Amino acid sequence: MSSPVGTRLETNNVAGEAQVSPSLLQLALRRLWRDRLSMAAIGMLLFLTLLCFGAPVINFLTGTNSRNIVADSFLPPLTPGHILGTDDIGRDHLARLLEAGQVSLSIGFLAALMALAIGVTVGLLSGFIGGHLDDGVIWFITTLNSIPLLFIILLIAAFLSPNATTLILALGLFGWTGTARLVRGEAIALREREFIISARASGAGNLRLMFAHVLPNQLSIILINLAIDIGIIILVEATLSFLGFGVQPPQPTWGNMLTESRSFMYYGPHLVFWPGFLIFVTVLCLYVLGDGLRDAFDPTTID
Amino acid sequence: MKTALRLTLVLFVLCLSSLSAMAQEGGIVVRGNAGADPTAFDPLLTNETVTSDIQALIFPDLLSVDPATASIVNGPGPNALASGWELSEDGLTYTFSLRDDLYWTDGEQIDADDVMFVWDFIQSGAVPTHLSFVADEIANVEKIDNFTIAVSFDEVDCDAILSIGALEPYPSHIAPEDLTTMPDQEFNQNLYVSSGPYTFGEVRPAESISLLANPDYVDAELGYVNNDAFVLLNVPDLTVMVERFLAGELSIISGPQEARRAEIYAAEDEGRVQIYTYPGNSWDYLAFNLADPSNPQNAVDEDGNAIDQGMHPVFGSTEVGRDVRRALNMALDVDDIIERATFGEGTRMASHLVPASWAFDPTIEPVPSDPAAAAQMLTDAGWVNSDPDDPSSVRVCQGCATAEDGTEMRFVLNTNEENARRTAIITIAQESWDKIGVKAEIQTLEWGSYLEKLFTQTLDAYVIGWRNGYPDRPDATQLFTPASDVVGGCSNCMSYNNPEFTAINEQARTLPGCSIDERKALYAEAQRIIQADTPYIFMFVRNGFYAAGSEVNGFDPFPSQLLWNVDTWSISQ
Amino acid sequence: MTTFVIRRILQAIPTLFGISILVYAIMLATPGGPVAALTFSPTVTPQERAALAAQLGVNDPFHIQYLRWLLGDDWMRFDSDGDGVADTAYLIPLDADGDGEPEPPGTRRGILRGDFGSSFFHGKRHVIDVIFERLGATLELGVASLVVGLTIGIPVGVLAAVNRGGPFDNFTRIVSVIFNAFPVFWLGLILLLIFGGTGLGLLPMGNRCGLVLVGGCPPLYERLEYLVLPTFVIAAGFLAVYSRFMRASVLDVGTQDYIRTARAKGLSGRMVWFRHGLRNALIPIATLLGPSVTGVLSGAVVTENIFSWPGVGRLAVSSLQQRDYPTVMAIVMLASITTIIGYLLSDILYALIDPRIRLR
Repeated sequence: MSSPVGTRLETNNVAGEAQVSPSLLQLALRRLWRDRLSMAAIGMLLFLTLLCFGAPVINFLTGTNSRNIVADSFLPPLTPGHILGTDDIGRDHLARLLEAGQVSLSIGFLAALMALAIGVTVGLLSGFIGGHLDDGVIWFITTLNSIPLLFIILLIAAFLSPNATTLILALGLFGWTGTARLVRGEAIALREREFIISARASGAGNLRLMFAHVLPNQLSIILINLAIDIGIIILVEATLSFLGFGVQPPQPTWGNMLTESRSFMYYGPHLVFWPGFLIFVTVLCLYVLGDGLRDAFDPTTID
Repeated sequence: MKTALRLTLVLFVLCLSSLSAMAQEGGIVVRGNAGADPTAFDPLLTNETVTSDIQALIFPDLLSVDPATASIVNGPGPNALASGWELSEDGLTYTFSLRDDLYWTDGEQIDADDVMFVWDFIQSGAVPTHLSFVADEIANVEKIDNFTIAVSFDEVDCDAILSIGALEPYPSHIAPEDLTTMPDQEFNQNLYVSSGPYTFGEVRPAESISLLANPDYVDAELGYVNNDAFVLLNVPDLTVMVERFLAGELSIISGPQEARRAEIYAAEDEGRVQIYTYPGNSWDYLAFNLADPSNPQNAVDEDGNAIDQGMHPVFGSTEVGRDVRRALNMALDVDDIIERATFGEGTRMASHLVPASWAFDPTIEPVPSDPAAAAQMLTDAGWVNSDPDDPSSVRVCQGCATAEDGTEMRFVLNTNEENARRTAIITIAQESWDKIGVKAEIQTLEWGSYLEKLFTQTLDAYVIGWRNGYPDRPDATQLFTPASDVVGGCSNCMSYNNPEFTAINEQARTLPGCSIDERKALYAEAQRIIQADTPYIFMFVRNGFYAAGSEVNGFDPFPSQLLWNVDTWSISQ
Repeated sequence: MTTFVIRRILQAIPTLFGISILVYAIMLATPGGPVAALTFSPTVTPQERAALAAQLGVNDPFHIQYLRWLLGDDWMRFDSDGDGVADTAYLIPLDADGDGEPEPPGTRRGILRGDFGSSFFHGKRHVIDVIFERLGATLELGVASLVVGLTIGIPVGVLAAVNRGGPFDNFTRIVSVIFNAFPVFWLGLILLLIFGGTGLGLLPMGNRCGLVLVGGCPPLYERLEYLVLPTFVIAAGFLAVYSRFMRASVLDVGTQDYIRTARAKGLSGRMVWFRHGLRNALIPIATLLGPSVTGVLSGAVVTENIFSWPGVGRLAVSSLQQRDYPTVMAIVMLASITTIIGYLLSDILYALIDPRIRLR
């Protein structure tokens, strides 16, 4: 996915992706395991995910929830019963952050997964089968790439009512072109490789070739893109909220909490800090992980 | 000095503080403007908020308003063309005498023709204009001589003078022969002829609009305009706007976000800024649909006969279900809503009249908050808890007047997206009602689709707001009478129809002699009726808020009148 | 080369058609629309509302609205006998709002004849005029951030590659990731609070230049301080991309045979990098131009709002909010054309730098 917000681009098409045999995968995993930064990122991401989706348990323990007005507005952090204080209309801030996290993380993960699924499928088919299909796909990708993605997403969000589902669909349906191009390139390269040719000679059909032989070799692209895309999408969600086209309150997301809290710097600085911090940490971890994966899969990396 | 300024072709300063180096005594007033960027200025063609602000500073009015009392003065006033009027015996014709000492900046005298042109333009219908409503209210405008005009009406209307105020003089001598080309004229982009404390400077699209002090302004309080220029600086982000004000990049702001006002109050305590607040004229309310939302109908057909609009299963109609609506009102703690949704920056309303209105009756108390009594009222009205031991269990109809037995007390409460204040209101209302077994589902809609649903009258209950004009017109014909209950384009979208209210409202508007006291009494009665009927839960007017840096001298606003004395302002260095 | 350019331009035509249909479809699939928002006032009657809808043509079916946008409506409803009243109509009714009077004759010529239509707002001016007066500001910001991104990003990338795995490499890697993990608007606000008048007071908090009464903004070099913050916010993204890209490219070149040969000849490591590696490593950077155009446009949308920058990005957002279809369409089409040109330039540049590449 080319980034709609900033200007991040795939850099992994330069260093020449290598085909990944099972032993290379094991090697990569071993490298990743030794990369402390990446492992810390994975740990943090797991922790945050568990925390957000464990919200019902936490709410049960703290005796609060994200929707009800339970106390005075703008209680400071560490108020008994409200570890992170309360928001502008008196809802528990922690509970809201966790619910928001569920939404933001789900949007990021599901949209990235959808974009990836479409991108890999289209890329494989187009690269492996080629011909008119390939021409059509290339034209379609060029068309989509000619509109800045943020504009498309803005259009969709502005004209359909923006909620988590429409955002996932919009980002998934329009964010797959980058992946598709990479996978297509790889597929074309692999098509002529010996192991594919010999598999074809032994009677393997196109589908089987694609999914049993080519796809596993794309694992590195898939994993790296997934990590980076989730990060980008979480940022896009926040940007859309800032521009007024994101998921609408009272449904909280990290993005719209951050956007709303801009004006609370005087009453409750804690309301500004946490959503921004959580977005930052999550995206940072995802990028670090993406970088780590790239290095782990890079055959030129010296152990 | 002012001539020197006019001769200066380019004057730029990096920040306000460096102005001192330029030895301009008066200084530049910089106002932050978050509104949409105006790109058309002809006063007959556009009335966007920002454009109106500019027009008020560079064009004369026909009538003069006393900012202290918010009423139109029968006499001369600064930069007003009429020096007074006489009302005919029958109360139908106003004869205005016009001043003969006002000139446009190009030297042409301002006279009756400049007013007649506006009337002719409205009547011609050559170009769609926001002033078209004037043609519906005024019967005729006639030029008696160069400095006398007569405005006549078909019926007595005590607010007539407010409609006449719309006929602001226009430099007719520069208007094109073919009126339909007016939008394309240079004047629509550059108001090169004007008459007022300022003249038009320059527009930098989406960035700033500058107005220059008019050295020939005859009505200046001090004999001259005390500052050099007035600049509207476009700052689209409201958070940034407050920061830039506090940093001194803007000298005045109005209506900053409620959540940011505490910071500005704190700056006031430190002596860095000056603040003026007042109960404003925009107000939020929660409306109940009093007709069947599944089958929206106009209130009356083409011949004026009433159409059966059915009733809402929970809220009933105007006559049926008053107790339910009052109970829903009592279940809310509106003062708490004001505290949480507007940070205390709102003033409670008791009825449809805003506190700033001359007809506002302060003796009418708002509906009190009493959830326990509200619960009892609902039970008495035939809506009982499904679980008698659980007061928050959903209420079901058992002998209620508006729905079949067994109907649950559920409805949708809507408001528009992108409005934190209204989202807070519906969130709090949902929660308060939930405690007494009233289940509202809350939903925010995009502005365009929200209005579409509002106009087609398919909503249950909704929170939205009105902004009243200035000076305030207490008439409620548009808001609460069957005439404006039209599916597809309503302002009485919730189908309120109480003949008694309609009659009193009409009587107050057309009272022979227009005695202020008698009209006040009638409007007080109208307020009591509407409160008893509860078509709206009246909430609050948003407090108006003006702030100026301490360097601004002469900052002395009245409600809705920030700039009435701007010609005396100066900026200390 | 010329054939290549011509063919690419021809190829762009169906792409532009595709975009316009896609965008139009998204736009018109929406409930609501500009009419309700334009007329939300108690003094507006339903008749006036209907008349406005007819005048704007927003109630026509999708294909009619698209045709009007593409080819204009001066042939759809026109005055054949010259009395100023429309009397002939194709595809659309003569009397669209049902008030018994024919609507005025169509005046739009459609974008194929260079008419992007009139804005629903902005005093109903021609969309193209409205956009063009904003274009300069965005261009200024975009070029500035590209220049900053390139002049800092490339050296940083090269140094990082030369010191692969060293402290500088790790430092730049972390910094670039950190700046990219902030939501752009949040980064902008934080910088504004730190460097603006309520913080350190070092930089102005917005706009393109200081107060100007008449005569427009002074030349660029006299108001550079206004560019600093918004440029940095957009360039932060470019910096990360360019430096990482450059690093990867240099490393890639490092594994090539001629570098090994040069090293075998006994040249020192640094010499090899700068003599032989750099030029070849720069080639792939050219491919970034196309995507960078998209980056500038997207970055501008947010940054211009924070820093009160009077550019097209802000116009895009406000037009979307107001449902100003003609303006939205025109901006999207212009953005797409710019992007296509960006990609085209990328390819040409690529061929110019790298003689091995032939443009077909």
